[in-house]
Amino acid sequence: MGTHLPSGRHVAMICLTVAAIQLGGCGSIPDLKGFADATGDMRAGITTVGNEFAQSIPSDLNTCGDTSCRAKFEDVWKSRIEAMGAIADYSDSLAQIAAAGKDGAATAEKVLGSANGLLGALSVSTIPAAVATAATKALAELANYRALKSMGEAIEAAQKPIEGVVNVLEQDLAVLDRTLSDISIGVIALEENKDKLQAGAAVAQAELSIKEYLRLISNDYSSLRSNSMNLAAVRAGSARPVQSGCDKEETCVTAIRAVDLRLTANREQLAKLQRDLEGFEKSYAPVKASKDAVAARISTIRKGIVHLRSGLRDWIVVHGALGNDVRRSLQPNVRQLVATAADLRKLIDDMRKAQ
Amino acid sequence: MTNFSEIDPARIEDWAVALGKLLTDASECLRNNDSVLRSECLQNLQAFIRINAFQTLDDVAADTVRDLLGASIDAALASIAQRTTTLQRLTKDIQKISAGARKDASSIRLEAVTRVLDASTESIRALNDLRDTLKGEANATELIGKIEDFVKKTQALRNELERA
Repeated sequence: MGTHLPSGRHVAMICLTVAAIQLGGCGSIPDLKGFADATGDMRAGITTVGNEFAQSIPSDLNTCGDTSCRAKFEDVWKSRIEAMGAIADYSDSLAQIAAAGKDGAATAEKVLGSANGLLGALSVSTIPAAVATAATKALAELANYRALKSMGEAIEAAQKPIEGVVNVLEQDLAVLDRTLSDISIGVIALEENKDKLQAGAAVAQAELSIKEYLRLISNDYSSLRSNSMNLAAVRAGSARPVQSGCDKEETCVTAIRAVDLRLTANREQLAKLQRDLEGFEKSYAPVKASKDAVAARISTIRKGIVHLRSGLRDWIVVHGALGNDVRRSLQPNVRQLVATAADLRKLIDDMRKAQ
Repeated sequence: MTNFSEIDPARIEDWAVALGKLLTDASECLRNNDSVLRSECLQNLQAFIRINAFQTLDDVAADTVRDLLGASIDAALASIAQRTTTLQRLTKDIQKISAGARKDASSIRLEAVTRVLDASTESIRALNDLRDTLKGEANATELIGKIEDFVKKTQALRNELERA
């Protein structure tokens, strides 16, 4: 059977309670879920934007030496993914401290449970309920205090290296954005060039011919107008033509008949060319769609970059304020960061779906 | 951006002159490695390919587009790569802070204390079980004595700790 609890244990519990009271004024631990989730979205953004950029590099470029440009890029981007992974891991470690601090009472109960298990194994009486309650409260306070202190220290130590990483990523993303603009223009130009080998050349030729026929027809209508006016003047007995062109009955009639014949033939020719052009444009449509797809894809990646850059800027501001929030027991303001991260997440989903 | 609207669509020589100017500009872009100029050169070449109707001239323009694209990607890779060492050093710093923070979280959860208590409990129980099993054995008296002695010492140690 168990013996009576020695008074030493009471003393230990009282000491713990006193220690907890001395930590008085312990603030509440901030909720870091939104912050940690947004950081996860930033990490996914860095990975996805990198993958998409690699896929956008034309595979047939004779550059980058022996390695393909895609492989070379993926190699340098790996360290960006690792850096963002380290930041996400750091956010997670802060969330773990916060959770440990908040779960202080549960932790205390677990420890007291284990202690009672040991006392039972040693055939000694377990800790009385009143002492256990006081100890649980004291341990919970202590956990809260230690969590706040540990978070504050970690945030202070991490701010500078994280600012450094964000600064590097900012510069890298600006380079990707600029290069994507070049890739978009260049790839579309190359697609345009391929088009000309196919339907594009016929379309261009037909368009040129149509332009030429329209010019001829317009000239002939002018000629028909002036010759008609001149013939009317001749028949009315006027000595001089009212417009440049024919000035006698015979020449005017000949000119009008010739222009009429030419106009009719040219109009038929124009109608035929316009029908041909419609046909060419139908076969040109898939190539145009492919060019549009390139433009749309690159535009989505560039939007992703804009959101990512904005998200990183929000992130560093929130992190910078977090140390102060922890000290003053304030909840971090992550509204803007969470909103940007949500937009980024949607774009990432779109990019993944389009793959 | 270059304006091609005044060139007669049907005169290849006029288009060749326009292309010649673009190629000279492109050489300048490649020599200077200036991203703004390069982008402008690419835009002009794209417009040239889109507007003119001569495939042969387009092919020359397309080759130059490839050169400019290659230069753009080379410059991007070089720019990104030059920051990699700094980034790796910063990443290690952050990883160290995270490892410390995880250790703190574990310490706040009193994981080590709980582990020691649980392991001690298991050991004592196992020793008690062993003592009970050995009680029927004739040659085990000495060993049983040692186990009981160990359990008593552990109880005494605990009591010492209580008083401390």
